[in-house]
Amino acid sequence: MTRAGYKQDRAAAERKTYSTVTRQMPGVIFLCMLLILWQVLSQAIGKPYLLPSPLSVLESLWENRREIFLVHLPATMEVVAIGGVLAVLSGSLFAILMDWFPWLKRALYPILTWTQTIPVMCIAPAFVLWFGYTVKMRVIVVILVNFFTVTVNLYDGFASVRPERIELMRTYGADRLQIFSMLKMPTALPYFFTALRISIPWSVIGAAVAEWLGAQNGLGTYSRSCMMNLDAAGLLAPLLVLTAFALLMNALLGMIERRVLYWQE
Amino acid sequence: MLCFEHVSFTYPGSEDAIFRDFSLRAEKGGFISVIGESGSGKTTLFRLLNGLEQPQEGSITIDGTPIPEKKNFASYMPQQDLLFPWLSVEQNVMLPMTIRKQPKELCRKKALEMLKKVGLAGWEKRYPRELSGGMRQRVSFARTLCAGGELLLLDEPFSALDSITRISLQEWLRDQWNHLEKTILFITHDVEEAVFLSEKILVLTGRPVTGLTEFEVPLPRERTREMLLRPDIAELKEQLIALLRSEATE
Ligand SMILES: Nc1ncnc2c1ncn2[C@@H]1O[C@H](COP(=O)(O)OP(=O)(O)OP(=O)(O)O)[C@@H](O)[C@H]1O
Ligand SMILES: [Mg+2]
Repeated sequence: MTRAGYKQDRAAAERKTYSTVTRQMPGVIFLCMLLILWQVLSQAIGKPYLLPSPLSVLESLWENRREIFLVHLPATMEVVAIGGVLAVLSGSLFAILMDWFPWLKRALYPILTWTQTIPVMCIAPAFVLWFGYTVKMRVIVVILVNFFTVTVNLYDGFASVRPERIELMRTYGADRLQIFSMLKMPTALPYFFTALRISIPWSVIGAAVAEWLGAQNGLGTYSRSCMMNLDAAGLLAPLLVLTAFALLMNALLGMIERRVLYWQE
Repeated sequence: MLCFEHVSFTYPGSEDAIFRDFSLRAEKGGFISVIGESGSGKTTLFRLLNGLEQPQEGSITIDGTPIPEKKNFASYMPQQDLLFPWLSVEQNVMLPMTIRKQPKELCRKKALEMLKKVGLAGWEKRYPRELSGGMRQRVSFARTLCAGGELLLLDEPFSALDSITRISLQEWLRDQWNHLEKTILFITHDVEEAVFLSEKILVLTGRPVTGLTEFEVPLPRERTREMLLRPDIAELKEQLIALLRSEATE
């Protein structure tokens, strides 16, 4: 690259970070204002068991930090990780099979899009009936929450390949496996990341709800026990952790995505 | 020698035949342009040659061997460059060889050689998004060369480019062909482009296509744009345009 070109790129990059900051500014300011309003309001009302102030939530988090971070967060993370990985694996497998066998796609795809509208959270109690208050039950909830998203997104990714590209590869003598691995997989990669980005928060939500239904440990369980004790600040503290956890995972994913999809505009 | 004999073809599931009892002979080593109005079947002609479609009747042979038995004789360059954005320029050019599982070092060497040929030495590690439209077409041409066929099938390779880039690529392609031992079949809409580039012009006639009209271009091997102003060339262009027009109004 020429020196001038390099400088231009640097300038463009700086402009970009600058504009990211300015773009996010209104959101940050608005969030701060909301927090201040919340603090003022809860002090004005003066009933911390109904509306705890944000500071008291932080305080509760600090007081119970050992229990939250050493016992409950790892328990939740375990469910999110196992469930998330299994959802991605099984979803990918189904997407690949549907792409390979068109008859399977014709059989499954309509059902898959249709089942996406079922709120899995609401049938979660049924899993308690079948599997009891076990890790297995919670993992299954997380899998079901994400399975369809992964399958449908990834399949759509495979299907988005331009037929001209497939034909071009065929004129070079490529077989189906080569067309799949050299063309369809890379084409579907951005769709795969989209699916992951949707799945991360939903895995966390799914795990928390499943724990809420009943579990020995986990942030959902902790939150629920605080509710039983009318400890509103304690109820909200783990939610703060869950949100931070999901945001962190998404940021990490974003970094990986930029690495892997380096070739995108 | 490329030979179509009494070829009839209809797309599966379609009513209208594209070719009916169509025959064509083309010598080795020429630069032959194919023109015809839009939708007349030019791309279909290439698809038949590629083996992407099979004719319902008739035969297509190269030096007497039917196409299904020939391998890698034709390299197809599509209308859009269709470069893979996740592959570097070099990897894109190597693609046909990678698919044939040729040794990596050989592929790389060949790709570099081809990139040098198309004037893109030093660009091998870049990605397609960093290239201009004209450069992308040249990469696509290098990839076509890497596919190794003796017959190059170029389907309107310059139609998406602006006129200046287009003119310079035409001159460039003509120059390439002068140094390559290849037969080129070149599809275009553009009469001037056909005249400037080729030794012979085929106009597809009839709908479905039943035959063709051949024109020899009386220009020397080394040619310049100014020669297009010669009276005999101007007359040839007029003839071609008149023929295309009468085809279009039929
Ligand atoms: N896959 C297909 N299935 C059915 N019909 C097709 C298919 N591809 C092309 N056709 C039809 O065949 C006819 C010839 O198409 P073709 O692409 O060969 O035309 P063309 O001469 O290359 O046109 P253009 O100059 O616009 O590229 C058109 O009428 C088109 O509608
Ligand atoms: Mg065409």
